[in-house]
Amino acid sequence: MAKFLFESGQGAFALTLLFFFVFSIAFAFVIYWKGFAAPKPSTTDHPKLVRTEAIWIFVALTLFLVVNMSSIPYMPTVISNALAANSSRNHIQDVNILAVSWAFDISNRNLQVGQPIRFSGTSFDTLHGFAVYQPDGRLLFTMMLIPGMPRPTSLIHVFEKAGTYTVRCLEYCGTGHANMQDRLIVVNNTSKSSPMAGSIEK
Amino acid sequence: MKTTATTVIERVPLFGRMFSVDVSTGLEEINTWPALFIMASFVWLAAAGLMGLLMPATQIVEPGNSIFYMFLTAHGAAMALPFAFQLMAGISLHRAGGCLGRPVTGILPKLTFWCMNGGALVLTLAILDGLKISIVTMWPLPLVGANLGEWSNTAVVLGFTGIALVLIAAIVLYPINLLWLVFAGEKRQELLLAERSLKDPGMLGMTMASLVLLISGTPLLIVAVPVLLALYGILPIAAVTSVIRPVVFQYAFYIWAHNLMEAMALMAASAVYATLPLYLADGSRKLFSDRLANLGLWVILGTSITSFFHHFFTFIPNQPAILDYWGNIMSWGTGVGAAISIFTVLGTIWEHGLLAEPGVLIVLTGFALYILDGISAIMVSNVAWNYHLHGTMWVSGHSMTAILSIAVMWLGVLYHHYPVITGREIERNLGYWFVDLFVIGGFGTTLVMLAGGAAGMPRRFAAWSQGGWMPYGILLLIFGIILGLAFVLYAYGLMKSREAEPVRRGVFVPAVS
Ligand SMILES: [Cu+2]
Repeated sequence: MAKFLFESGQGAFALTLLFFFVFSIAFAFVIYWKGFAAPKPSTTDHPKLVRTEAIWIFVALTLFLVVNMSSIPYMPTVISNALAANSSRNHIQDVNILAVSWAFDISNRNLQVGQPIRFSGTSFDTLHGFAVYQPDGRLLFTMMLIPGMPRPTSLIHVFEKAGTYTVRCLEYCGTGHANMQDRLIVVNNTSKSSPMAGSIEK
Repeated sequence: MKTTATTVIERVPLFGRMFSVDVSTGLEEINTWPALFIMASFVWLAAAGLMGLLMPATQIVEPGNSIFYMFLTAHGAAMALPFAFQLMAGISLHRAGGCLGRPVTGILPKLTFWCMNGGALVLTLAILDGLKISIVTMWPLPLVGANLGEWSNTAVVLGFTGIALVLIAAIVLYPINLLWLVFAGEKRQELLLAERSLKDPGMLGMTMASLVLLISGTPLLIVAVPVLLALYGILPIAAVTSVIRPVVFQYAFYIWAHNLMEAMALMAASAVYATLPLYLADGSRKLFSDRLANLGLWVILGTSITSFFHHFFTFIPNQPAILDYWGNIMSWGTGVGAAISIFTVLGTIWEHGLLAEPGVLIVLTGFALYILDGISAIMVSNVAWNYHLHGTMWVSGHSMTAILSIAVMWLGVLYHHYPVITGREIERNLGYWFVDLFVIGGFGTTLVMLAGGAAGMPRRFAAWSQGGWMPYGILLLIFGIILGLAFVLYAYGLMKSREAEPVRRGVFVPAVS
């Protein structure tokens, strides 16, 4: 459940629809009832409404807390920090990205499932994005690259599935923006002694 | 008494007729400039709406054509400030004038009007000359694009001149004008239509919003002035760009742009709080609770000021993760403010009953869309979701909906101001039709954009065909046409407005008698 909710934008869309559905039912009902069906002042006494109000605000606060607390394990910032703290430096593979209008220079496009990878991106000219799309077309994550920064934007990610991941720029960067694309090939890690291991930074 | 403003209104074809000022009541001092602002905002709406439809249309006809970015820049640039902001400026100045008995005349409204519209025109010329930098300018893209030959240096200079003028109107002139009316102008009994004090949620929200605009825009002005001077060749460009690095510009921009939206929301919320009580079935003219309404405004104000960090969640570690979490918490805090305002609105209606007049129904429809927008906003302000949604149509959907819903709340409030300004009343049936069409077109476009974003459809992207996102584009065009029809109908309602009875002239008509 939490995995579906927080691992793609579709979870956010589903929850938005749910919240909005509940709101619009209540909203439409009150307007219909008090504006068209029986547009009279209410007999509900004020203190009772004040109590309802307290309950409503409590419910909203609780809901907000629950949603955000349960999203914490899925925050790329949290995951990244945990990976950086737990793996010894040797286990993290570095992939460096330089974005220039309108192409990416990526230090290694062939990656392995299960391998923590630190993507570090800088921009040469204007704002660019480094967005990695899953093979099924959903957006896995995006990073914002602002030129002129002393250190790169950086994130550690572990791929769970093999496949071809499309890279796109998601910060508008001029007329060639939509063509600014690249690819990452992620393969299953068959054995420790596979020839692929050689290409991984030790 | 004929002023320049009245003459301008009379000379504008089509739109001038919708807003010709009533000269029979002696209230021209509070009516004329607001009328001109509102009229101009409708002209920009017409242009911006057309650009909005051309965006999906281009994509469908020829995916990848970079003319899309021209429509994108023009659409956003015209919608946000010249339309929505100017509409708000007109009605809020009218409200301040009539509720405080102070004339909306003198140098401030005049300068605001000419800077806003002159600036927007200059920016339009730059866009026609090829400047495709989107509504947020993406600094340093204007310079990079000129270097790459995407547009000319002249277009950049022209564009930034226009932007600077618009910013001066929105950040300095209008807020000072409003604050002047609230705190300093001469009070004249004959201009006082419905007295209100600062304790009134309607007045409080307006005052807060003016301060927010002034304060949050100052960093951007400090950054924009040297940039402009460098573009003019007065300061060496290398020296300016070494101090005002892209990251500095980006933060200054979003501190303003984020709080601009919040200020416009506060302003609209205050207008809702001021208008709703006038349409209650029991004639009590009371909100469910003034204290609760004010609390909601304070919560939104307090939490929104530092929520702007959510624009940079994906910029770690350059924006430290701790600021991400802070922005996350504060953004959801504004949701608590919204929850309070929902209860204030519904509690008021429940307790006192509603006179379901078109004006107040339009306000409430705008409010409902604003809540949908708020939900989409807090979702994308959660750090986990932001990494899947930032830079997608979700974010465009959110910014469009914020502007659209706020503007529509004002269009509802306009029903209440229009008879005072023009001496005429807006056709009622068309108002109900507007609500129906807007519910389909407005909520439709919003939900399609959010769904597209959730599916990874990038924003500001000329090739929707790329990831199979074109179905969303086709739906956007369909709902966009319906939305456009709703606005045409609204404008038609203004054309068809009837002369108000003499007793109903020059007073804020509370509701139908
Ligand atoms: Cu790019």
